[in-house]
Amino acid sequence: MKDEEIPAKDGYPLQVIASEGTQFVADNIMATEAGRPVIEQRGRTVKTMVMSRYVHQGNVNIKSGNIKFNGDVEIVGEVEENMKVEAGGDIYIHQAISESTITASKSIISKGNVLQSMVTAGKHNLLVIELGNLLRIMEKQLSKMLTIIQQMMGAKAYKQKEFETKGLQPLIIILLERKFIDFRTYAQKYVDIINKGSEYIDEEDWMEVSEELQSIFLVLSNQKTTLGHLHHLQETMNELAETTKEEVEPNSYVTVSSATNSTVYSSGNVNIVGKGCINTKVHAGGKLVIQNVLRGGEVFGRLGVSVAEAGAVSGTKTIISTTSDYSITISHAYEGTVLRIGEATRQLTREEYNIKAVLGDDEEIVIR
Amino acid sequence: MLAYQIHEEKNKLFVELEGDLDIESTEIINNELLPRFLQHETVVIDFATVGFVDSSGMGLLIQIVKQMKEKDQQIQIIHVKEDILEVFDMVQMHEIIGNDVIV
Repeated sequence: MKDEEIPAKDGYPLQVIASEGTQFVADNIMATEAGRPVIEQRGRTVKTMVMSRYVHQGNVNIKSGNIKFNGDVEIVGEVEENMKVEAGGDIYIHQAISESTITASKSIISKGNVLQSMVTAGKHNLLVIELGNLLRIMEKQLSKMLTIIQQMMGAKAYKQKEFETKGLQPLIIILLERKFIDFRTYAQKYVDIINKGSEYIDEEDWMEVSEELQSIFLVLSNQKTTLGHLHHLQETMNELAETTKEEVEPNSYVTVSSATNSTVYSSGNVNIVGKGCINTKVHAGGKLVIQNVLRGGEVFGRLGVSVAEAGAVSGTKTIISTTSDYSITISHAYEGTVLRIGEATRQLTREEYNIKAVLGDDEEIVIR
Repeated sequence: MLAYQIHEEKNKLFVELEGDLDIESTEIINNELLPRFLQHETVVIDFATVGFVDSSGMGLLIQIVKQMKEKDQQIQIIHVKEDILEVFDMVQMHEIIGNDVIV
Protein backbone atom coordinates (compact mmCIF):
# COMPACT_ATOMS: atom_id res chain seq x y z
CA MET A 1 0.00 0.00 0.00
CA LYS A 2 1.56 3.26 -1.03
CA ASP A 3 0.72 6.79 -0.13
CA GLU A 4 -1.40 5.82 2.81
CA GLU A 5 -2.13 8.74 5.06
CA ILE A 6 -2.31 8.38 8.78
CA PRO A 7 -3.65 11.58 10.44
CA ALA A 8 -1.60 12.87 13.35
CA LYS A 9 -3.29 12.75 16.74
CA ASP A 10 -4.32 15.94 18.50
CA GLY A 11 -4.86 16.71 22.12
CA TYR A 12 -1.90 15.46 24.13
CA PRO A 13 1.82 15.39 23.55
CA LEU A 14 2.82 12.23 21.77
CA GLN A 15 6.16 11.28 20.50
CA VAL A 16 5.56 9.94 17.04
CA ILE A 17 8.29 7.96 15.40
CA ALA A 18 7.99 7.36 11.69
CA SER A 19 9.89 4.14 11.46
CA GLU A 20 10.66 1.66 8.67
CA GLY A 21 8.95 2.48 5.42
CA THR A 22 7.14 5.57 6.66
CA GLN A 23 7.99 9.22 6.85
CA PHE A 24 6.55 12.54 7.89
CA VAL A 25 5.08 14.72 5.20
CA ALA A 26 3.86 17.97 6.76
CA ASP A 27 1.47 16.84 9.50
CA ASN A 28 0.85 13.41 8.09
CA ILE A 29 2.65 10.16 7.91
CA MET A 30 3.03 8.52 4.53
CA ALA A 31 4.00 5.04 3.61
CA THR A 32 7.06 5.07 1.42
CA GLU A 33 7.25 1.36 0.76
CA ALA A 34 4.92 -1.46 -0.04
CA GLY A 35 4.09 -3.81 2.76
CA ARG A 36 1.95 -4.35 5.82
CA PRO A 37 1.15 -1.11 7.72
CA VAL A 38 1.61 -1.25 11.49
CA ILE A 39 0.88 1.28 14.20
CA GLU A 40 2.21 0.61 17.68
CA GLN A 41 1.50 2.65 20.74
CA ARG A 42 3.20 2.34 24.07
CA GLY A 43 2.66 5.08 26.61
CA ARG A 44 3.21 8.38 24.86
CA THR A 45 5.13 6.94 21.99
CA VAL A 46 3.48 6.02 18.73
CA LYS A 47 5.45 4.26 16.06
CA THR A 48 4.39 3.78 12.49
CA MET A 49 5.97 1.20 10.26
CA VAL A 50 5.46 -0.62 7.06
CA MET A 51 6.50 -4.20 7.38
CA SER A 52 8.09 -5.50 4.27
CA ARG A 53 8.47 -9.21 3.77
CA TYR A 54 11.52 -11.31 3.07
CA VAL A 55 10.98 -14.83 1.80
CA HIS A 56 13.90 -17.23 2.15
CA GLN A 57 13.46 -20.07 -0.26
CA GLY A 58 15.59 -22.83 1.19
CA ASN A 59 17.01 -23.69 4.57
CA VAL A 60 18.76 -21.28 6.86
CA ASN A 61 22.23 -22.69 7.35
CA ILE A 62 25.90 -21.81 7.25
CA LYS A 63 25.74 -21.33 3.49
CA SER A 64 22.82 -18.96 3.62
CA GLY A 65 24.01 -17.20 6.74
CA ASN A 66 21.93 -15.80 9.59
CA ILE A 67 18.89 -13.74 8.81
CA LYS A 68 18.21 -10.37 10.28
CA PHE A 69 15.46 -8.33 8.75
CA ASN A 70 13.40 -5.40 9.80
CA GLY A 71 10.10 -6.71 8.54
CA ASP A 72 8.38 -10.07 8.24
CA VAL A 73 10.42 -13.14 7.43
CA GLU A 74 9.22 -16.34 5.83
CA ILE A 75 11.46 -19.39 5.71
CA VAL A 76 10.32 -22.03 3.30
CA GLY A 77 12.78 -24.66 4.51
CA GLU A 78 14.32 -25.48 7.85
CA VAL A 79 16.49 -23.56 10.24
CA GLU A 80 19.59 -25.65 10.81
CA GLU A 81 21.93 -25.87 13.79
CA ASN A 82 23.49 -22.78 15.36
CA MET A 83 21.72 -20.27 13.18
CA LYS A 84 19.91 -17.07 14.06
CA VAL A 85 16.81 -15.59 12.57
CA GLU A 86 15.76 -12.14 13.75
CA ALA A 87 12.84 -10.14 12.46
CA GLY A 88 11.25 -6.83 13.30
CA GLY A 89 7.87 -8.30 12.31
CA ASP A 90 6.52 -11.84 12.08
CA ILE A 91 8.49 -14.98 11.40
CA TYR A 92 6.91 -17.90 9.60
CA ILE A 93 8.93 -21.09 9.31
CA HIS A 94 7.66 -23.95 7.22
CA GLN A 95 9.85 -26.71 8.58
CA ALA A 96 11.89 -27.69 11.62
CA ILE A 97 14.10 -25.50 13.78
CA SER A 98 17.19 -27.09 15.31
CA GLU A 99 19.56 -25.68 17.92
CA SER A 100 18.87 -22.16 16.77
CA THR A 101 17.64 -18.83 17.99
CA ILE A 102 14.52 -17.29 16.53
CA THR A 103 13.59 -13.79 17.64
CA ALA A 104 10.68 -11.72 16.41
CA SER A 105 9.28 -8.44 17.57
CA LYS A 106 5.87 -9.75 16.61
CA SER A 107 4.79 -13.35 16.15
CA ILE A 108 6.42 -16.64 15.34
CA ILE A 109 4.76 -19.52 13.59
CA SER A 110 6.58 -22.78 12.98
CA LYS A 111 4.99 -25.67 11.20
CA GLY A 112 7.86 -27.93 12.16
CA ASN A 113 9.31 -29.22 15.36
CA VAL A 114 11.32 -26.85 17.52
CA LEU A 115 14.33 -28.73 18.80
CA GLN A 116 16.86 -27.43 21.34
CA SER A 117 16.16 -23.90 20.27
CA MET A 118 15.22 -20.58 21.68
CA VAL A 119 12.13 -18.91 20.32
CA THR A 120 11.18 -15.40 21.41
CA ALA A 121 8.20 -13.40 20.20
CA GLY A 122 7.56 -9.87 21.35
CA LYS A 123 11.15 -9.11 22.11
CA HIS A 124 10.42 -5.43 22.52
CA ASN A 125 7.76 -6.18 25.05
CA LEU A 126 9.93 -8.56 27.01
CA LEU A 127 12.76 -6.08 27.20
CA VAL A 128 10.40 -3.34 28.20
CA ILE A 129 9.04 -5.40 31.05
CA GLU A 130 12.52 -6.16 32.32
CA LEU A 131 13.49 -2.53 32.05
CA GLY A 132 10.30 -1.52 33.80
CA ASN A 133 11.15 -3.68 36.78
CA LEU A 134 14.59 -2.13 37.02
CA LEU A 135 13.12 1.34 36.77
CA ARG A 136 10.71 0.71 39.59
CA ILE A 137 13.52 -0.41 41.86
CA MET A 138 15.80 2.46 40.91
CA GLU A 139 13.09 5.07 41.20
CA LYS A 140 12.42 4.09 44.80
CA GLN A 141 16.10 4.32 45.63
CA LEU A 142 16.46 7.59 43.79
CA SER A 143 13.61 8.98 45.78
CA LYS A 144 15.37 8.09 49.04
CA MET A 145 18.59 9.51 47.69
CA LEU A 146 16.90 12.81 47.00
CA THR A 147 15.58 12.94 50.54
CA ILE A 148 19.04 12.40 51.96
CA ILE A 149 20.57 14.94 49.61
CA GLN A 150 18.05 17.47 50.80
CA GLN A 151 18.84 16.65 54.40
CA MET A 152 22.51 17.20 53.63
CA MET A 153 21.69 20.59 52.21
CA GLY A 154 20.22 21.49 55.55
CA ALA A 155 22.90 19.84 57.69
CA LYS A 156 24.75 22.28 59.91
CA ALA A 157 28.16 20.73 59.53
CA TYR A 158 28.05 20.15 55.78
CA LYS A 159 30.05 22.62 53.78
CA GLN A 160 27.45 23.79 51.25
CA LYS A 161 29.99 25.44 48.98
CA GLU A 162 30.68 22.06 47.42
CA PHE A 163 27.27 22.10 45.78
CA GLU A 164 28.04 25.34 44.00
CA THR A 165 31.43 24.37 42.75
CA LYS A 166 31.05 20.67 42.08
CA GLY A 167 27.36 19.97 42.03
CA LEU A 168 25.98 16.78 43.52
CA GLN A 169 28.46 14.32 42.03
CA PRO A 170 30.83 14.02 45.03
CA LEU A 171 27.93 13.44 47.38
CA ILE A 172 26.38 10.89 45.06
CA ILE A 173 29.67 9.01 44.91
CA ILE A 174 29.80 8.74 48.69
CA LEU A 175 26.17 7.68 48.85
CA LEU A 176 26.79 4.96 46.28
CA GLU A 177 29.71 3.71 48.35
CA ARG A 178 27.50 2.20 51.00
CA LYS A 179 24.09 3.65 51.54
CA PHE A 180 22.97 2.89 47.98
CA ILE A 181 25.47 0.21 47.23
CA ASP A 182 23.14 -1.72 44.89
CA PHE A 183 22.15 1.22 42.76
CA ARG A 184 25.10 1.01 40.38
CA THR A 185 24.38 -2.64 39.71
CA TYR A 186 20.80 -1.92 38.72
CA ALA A 187 21.87 1.06 36.64
CA GLN A 188 24.49 -0.97 34.84
CA LYS A 189 21.98 -3.74 34.15
CA TYR A 190 19.61 -1.21 32.67
CA VAL A 191 22.31 0.26 30.45
CA ASP A 192 23.43 -3.18 29.30
CA ILE A 193 19.91 -4.16 28.29
CA ILE A 194 19.47 -0.95 26.34
CA ASN A 195 22.78 -1.44 24.57
CA LYS A 196 22.19 -5.07 23.70
CA GLY A 197 18.60 -4.54 22.70
CA SER A 198 19.12 -1.35 20.76
CA GLU A 199 17.35 -2.71 17.71
CA TYR A 200 14.25 -3.54 19.69
CA ILE A 201 14.11 -0.45 21.84
CA ASP A 202 14.62 2.86 20.18
CA GLU A 203 12.21 5.16 21.92
CA GLU A 204 13.83 8.36 23.14
CA ASP A 205 12.82 8.20 26.76
CA TRP A 206 14.37 4.79 27.40
CA MET A 207 17.62 5.87 25.78
CA GLU A 208 17.62 9.14 27.68
CA VAL A 209 17.37 7.34 31.00
CA SER A 210 20.25 5.12 29.99
CA GLU A 211 22.42 8.12 29.17
CA GLU A 212 21.52 9.93 32.37
CA LEU A 213 22.25 6.87 34.47
CA GLN A 214 25.62 6.57 32.87
CA SER A 215 26.65 10.16 33.21
CA ILE A 216 25.36 10.61 36.74
CA PHE A 217 26.03 7.27 38.39
CA LEU A 218 28.32 5.10 36.36
CA VAL A 219 31.01 7.25 34.90
CA LEU A 220 33.21 9.71 36.74
CA SER A 221 32.76 13.01 35.03
CA ASN A 222 33.07 16.70 35.61
CA GLN A 223 29.41 17.16 34.99
CA LYS A 224 27.70 19.32 37.54
CA THR A 225 24.70 17.26 38.54
CA THR A 226 21.87 19.28 40.03
CA LEU A 227 18.72 18.54 41.97
CA GLY A 228 16.88 19.42 38.78
CA HIS A 229 18.69 16.65 36.91
CA LEU A 230 17.78 14.11 39.54
CA HIS A 231 14.16 15.17 39.78
CA HIS A 232 13.80 15.05 36.02
CA LEU A 233 15.35 11.60 35.94
CA GLN A 234 13.02 10.41 38.66
CA GLU A 235 10.01 11.74 36.79
CA THR A 236 11.01 10.07 33.55
CA MET A 237 11.62 6.80 35.34
CA ASN A 238 8.18 6.94 36.85
CA GLU A 239 6.48 7.70 33.57
CA LEU A 240 8.25 4.91 31.78
CA ALA A 241 7.62 2.41 34.56
CA GLU A 242 3.92 3.24 34.36
CA THR A 243 3.83 2.28 30.71
CA THR A 244 5.25 -1.14 31.34
CA LYS A 245 2.65 -2.78 33.50
CA GLU A 246 2.59 -6.11 31.74
CA GLU A 247 0.22 -5.85 28.81
CA VAL A 248 -0.68 -8.64 26.51
CA GLU A 249 0.48 -7.90 23.03
CA PRO A 250 -2.10 -9.57 20.85
CA ASN A 251 0.22 -9.45 17.91
CA SER A 252 3.04 -11.18 19.70
CA TYR A 253 2.24 -14.84 19.81
CA VAL A 254 4.00 -18.11 19.16
CA THR A 255 2.40 -21.03 17.44
CA VAL A 256 4.54 -24.09 16.89
CA SER A 257 3.91 -27.66 16.01
CA SER A 258 5.94 -29.21 18.78
CA ALA A 259 8.84 -28.27 21.01
CA THR A 260 11.56 -30.38 22.56
CA ASN A 261 14.34 -29.28 24.91
CA SER A 262 13.69 -25.69 23.99
CA THR A 263 12.79 -22.32 25.43
CA VAL A 264 9.77 -20.42 24.20
CA TYR A 265 9.08 -16.85 25.27
CA SER A 266 6.14 -14.85 24.12
CA SER A 267 4.74 -11.64 25.45
CA GLY A 268 1.40 -12.85 24.13
CA ASN A 269 -0.14 -16.28 23.69
CA VAL A 270 1.63 -19.55 23.02
CA ASN A 271 0.01 -22.40 21.18
CA ILE A 272 1.64 -25.77 20.82
CA VAL A 273 -0.52 -27.59 18.34
CA GLY A 274 1.42 -30.66 17.36
CA LYS A 275 2.58 -33.79 19.07
CA GLY A 276 3.91 -32.26 22.22
CA CYS A 277 5.95 -30.04 24.42
CA ILE A 278 8.80 -32.00 25.95
CA ASN A 279 11.32 -30.77 28.52
CA THR A 280 10.73 -27.26 27.36
CA LYS A 281 10.51 -23.99 29.18
CA VAL A 282 7.60 -21.83 28.09
CA HIS A 283 6.70 -18.36 29.21
CA ALA A 284 3.53 -16.89 27.78
CA GLY A 285 2.51 -13.35 28.64
CA GLY A 286 -0.96 -14.37 27.50
CA LYS A 287 -2.60 -17.77 27.42
CA LEU A 288 -0.77 -21.03 26.96
CA VAL A 289 -2.48 -23.85 25.12
CA ILE A 290 -0.86 -27.24 24.61
CA GLN A 291 -3.06 -29.30 22.41
CA ASN A 292 -1.46 -32.64 23.03
CA VAL A 293 1.19 -33.81 25.39
CA LEU A 294 3.22 -31.88 27.96
CA ARG A 295 6.08 -33.82 29.50
CA GLY A 296 8.75 -32.39 31.74
CA GLY A 297 9.88 -28.81 31.61
CA GLU A 298 8.35 -25.77 33.22
CA VAL A 299 5.55 -23.87 31.54
CA PHE A 300 3.85 -20.63 32.46
CA GLY A 301 0.87 -18.83 30.99
CA ARG A 302 0.16 -15.53 32.64
CA LEU A 303 -3.47 -15.56 31.63
CA GLY A 304 -4.05 -19.26 32.11
CA VAL A 305 -2.88 -22.63 30.88
CA SER A 306 -4.76 -25.35 29.07
CA VAL A 307 -3.16 -28.75 28.44
CA ALA A 308 -4.55 -31.93 26.95
CA GLU A 309 -2.19 -34.37 28.64
CA ALA A 310 0.32 -33.44 31.31
CA GLY A 311 3.02 -35.22 33.21
CA ALA A 312 4.87 -38.45 32.71
CA VAL A 313 4.59 -41.94 34.02
CA SER A 314 8.09 -41.76 35.42
CA GLY A 315 11.02 -39.41 35.95
CA THR A 316 11.03 -35.76 35.02
CA LYS A 317 8.78 -33.38 36.86
CA THR A 318 6.31 -31.35 34.90
CA ILE A 319 5.57 -27.91 36.30
CA ILE A 320 2.63 -25.84 35.16
CA SER A 321 2.08 -22.35 36.50
CA THR A 322 -0.12 -19.36 36.08
CA THR A 323 -1.00 -16.19 37.98
CA SER A 324 -3.39 -16.03 40.90
CA ASP A 325 -6.44 -14.86 39.01
CA TYR A 326 -6.29 -17.52 36.35
CA SER A 327 -6.68 -21.26 35.98
CA ILE A 328 -4.97 -24.42 34.80
CA THR A 329 -7.11 -26.81 32.79
CA ILE A 330 -5.91 -30.34 32.09
CA SER A 331 -7.81 -33.13 30.36
CA HIS A 332 -5.51 -35.89 31.59
CA ALA A 333 -2.89 -35.29 34.25
CA TYR A 334 -0.47 -37.88 35.56
CA GLU A 335 0.42 -38.24 39.20
CA GLY A 336 3.34 -36.04 40.17
CA THR A 337 2.43 -33.12 37.95
CA VAL A 338 3.15 -29.88 39.80
CA LEU A 339 0.67 -27.01 39.62
CA ARG A 340 1.47 -23.45 40.65
CA ILE A 341 -1.03 -20.66 40.84
CA GLY A 342 0.31 -17.37 42.15
CA GLU A 343 2.41 -18.29 45.19
CA ALA A 344 0.69 -21.59 45.90
CA THR A 345 2.01 -24.94 44.78
CA ARG A 346 0.39 -28.32 44.66
CA GLN A 347 1.60 -31.64 43.39
CA LEU A 348 -0.96 -34.09 42.10
CA THR A 349 -0.99 -37.22 44.20
CA ARG A 350 -2.92 -39.31 41.72
CA GLU A 351 -3.93 -39.39 38.11
CA GLU A 352 -6.67 -36.90 37.30
CA TYR A 353 -9.07 -36.35 34.41
CA ASN A 354 -10.72 -33.16 33.25
CA ILE A 355 -9.58 -30.89 36.02
CA LYS A 356 -9.57 -27.16 36.35
CA ALA A 357 -7.35 -25.78 39.07
CA VAL A 358 -7.87 -22.32 40.53
CA LEU A 359 -6.66 -20.54 43.63
CA GLY A 360 -9.02 -20.91 46.53
CA ASP A 361 -8.77 -18.94 49.76
CA ASP A 362 -5.09 -19.38 50.49
CA GLU A 363 -4.84 -22.70 48.73
CA GLU A 364 -5.43 -24.36 45.39
CA ILE A 365 -8.69 -25.99 44.59
CA VAL A 366 -9.11 -28.67 42.05
CA ILE A 367 -12.46 -28.37 40.43
CA ARG A 368 -13.90 -31.03 38.22
CA MET B 1 41.06 25.60 55.28
CA LEU B 2 42.57 22.76 57.19
CA ALA B 3 45.34 23.13 59.75
CA TYR B 4 46.91 20.54 61.99
CA GLN B 5 49.16 19.81 64.92
CA ILE B 6 51.11 16.62 65.23
CA HIS B 7 52.93 14.96 68.06
CA GLU B 8 54.25 11.50 68.70
CA GLU B 9 53.72 9.56 71.88
CA LYS B 10 55.42 6.19 72.14
CA ASN B 11 54.47 4.50 68.89
CA LYS B 12 51.34 6.50 68.31
CA LEU B 13 50.97 9.51 66.11
CA PHE B 14 48.49 12.10 67.38
CA VAL B 15 47.02 14.56 64.94
CA GLU B 16 44.71 17.42 65.85
CA LEU B 17 42.84 18.72 62.84
CA GLU B 18 41.42 22.20 62.77
CA GLY B 19 39.03 23.79 60.32
CA ASP B 20 37.13 22.29 57.36
CA LEU B 21 37.69 18.88 55.88
CA ASP B 22 36.79 19.63 52.30
CA ILE B 23 38.15 19.64 48.76
CA GLU B 24 40.74 22.25 49.65
CA SER B 25 42.23 19.81 52.15
CA THR B 26 43.28 17.46 49.38
CA GLU B 27 46.87 18.62 49.08
CA ILE B 28 47.55 18.80 52.79
CA ILE B 29 46.14 15.35 53.33
CA ASN B 30 47.79 13.66 50.37
CA ASN B 31 51.14 15.41 50.42
CA GLU B 32 51.76 16.08 54.09
CA LEU B 33 49.63 13.95 56.36
CA LEU B 34 49.11 10.65 54.60
CA PRO B 35 52.81 9.91 54.04
CA ARG B 36 53.47 10.43 57.76
CA PHE B 37 50.46 8.35 58.74
CA LEU B 38 51.69 5.43 56.73
CA GLN B 39 54.89 5.36 58.73
CA HIS B 40 53.20 4.72 62.06
CA GLU B 41 51.51 1.66 63.40
CA THR B 42 48.84 3.63 65.17
CA VAL B 43 47.37 7.00 64.29
CA VAL B 44 44.83 8.93 66.32
CA ILE B 45 43.04 11.82 64.61
CA ASP B 46 41.36 14.33 66.87
CA PHE B 47 38.34 15.99 65.25
CA ALA B 48 37.50 18.29 68.15
CA THR B 49 38.11 21.44 66.16
CA VAL B 50 36.84 20.26 62.80
CA GLY B 51 33.75 22.31 62.00
CA PHE B 52 32.69 21.33 58.50
CA VAL B 53 33.00 18.42 56.12
CA ASP B 54 31.82 17.78 52.61
CA SER B 55 31.84 14.75 50.31
CA SER B 56 35.28 15.46 48.99
CA GLY B 57 36.56 15.64 52.55
CA MET B 58 34.79 12.44 53.49
CA GLY B 59 36.28 10.84 50.42
CA LEU B 60 39.75 11.81 51.61
CA LEU B 61 39.02 10.37 55.02
CA ILE B 62 37.86 7.11 53.48
CA GLN B 63 41.05 6.97 51.45
CA ILE B 64 43.20 7.45 54.54
CA VAL B 65 41.46 4.69 56.43
CA LYS B 66 41.53 2.30 53.48
CA GLN B 67 45.22 2.78 52.84
CA MET B 68 46.12 2.37 56.47
CA LYS B 69 44.03 -0.74 56.90
CA GLU B 70 45.71 -2.21 53.84
CA LYS B 71 49.01 -1.93 55.67
CA ASP B 72 47.47 -3.39 58.82
CA GLN B 73 47.81 -0.12 60.62
CA GLN B 74 45.44 1.13 63.30
CA ILE B 75 43.54 4.33 62.99
CA GLN B 76 41.16 6.03 65.36
CA ILE B 77 39.10 9.14 64.99
CA ILE B 78 38.08 10.83 68.21
CA HIS B 79 36.03 13.78 69.48
CA VAL B 80 33.87 14.09 66.41
CA LYS B 81 31.26 16.82 66.87
CA GLU B 82 27.56 15.92 66.93
CA ASP B 83 26.79 17.82 63.78
CA ILE B 84 29.51 16.04 61.90
CA LEU B 85 28.42 12.67 63.23
CA GLU B 86 25.01 13.51 61.85
CA VAL B 87 26.51 13.89 58.39
CA PHE B 88 28.56 10.71 58.79
CA ASP B 89 25.39 8.85 59.69
CA MET B 90 23.59 9.95 56.58
CA VAL B 91 26.20 8.37 54.34
CA GLN B 92 26.78 5.38 56.65
CA MET B 93 30.39 6.36 57.22
CA HIS B 94 30.71 3.87 60.07
CA GLU B 95 29.94 1.01 57.72
CA ILE B 96 32.28 2.34 55.07
CA ILE B 97 35.39 2.73 57.19
CA GLY B 98 34.63 0.21 59.89
CA ASN B 99 32.87 0.42 63.21
CA ASP B 100 36.11 0.41 65.13
CA VAL B 101 37.45 3.63 63.68
CA ILE B 102 35.22 6.40 64.97
CA VAL B 103 35.34 6.45 68.72
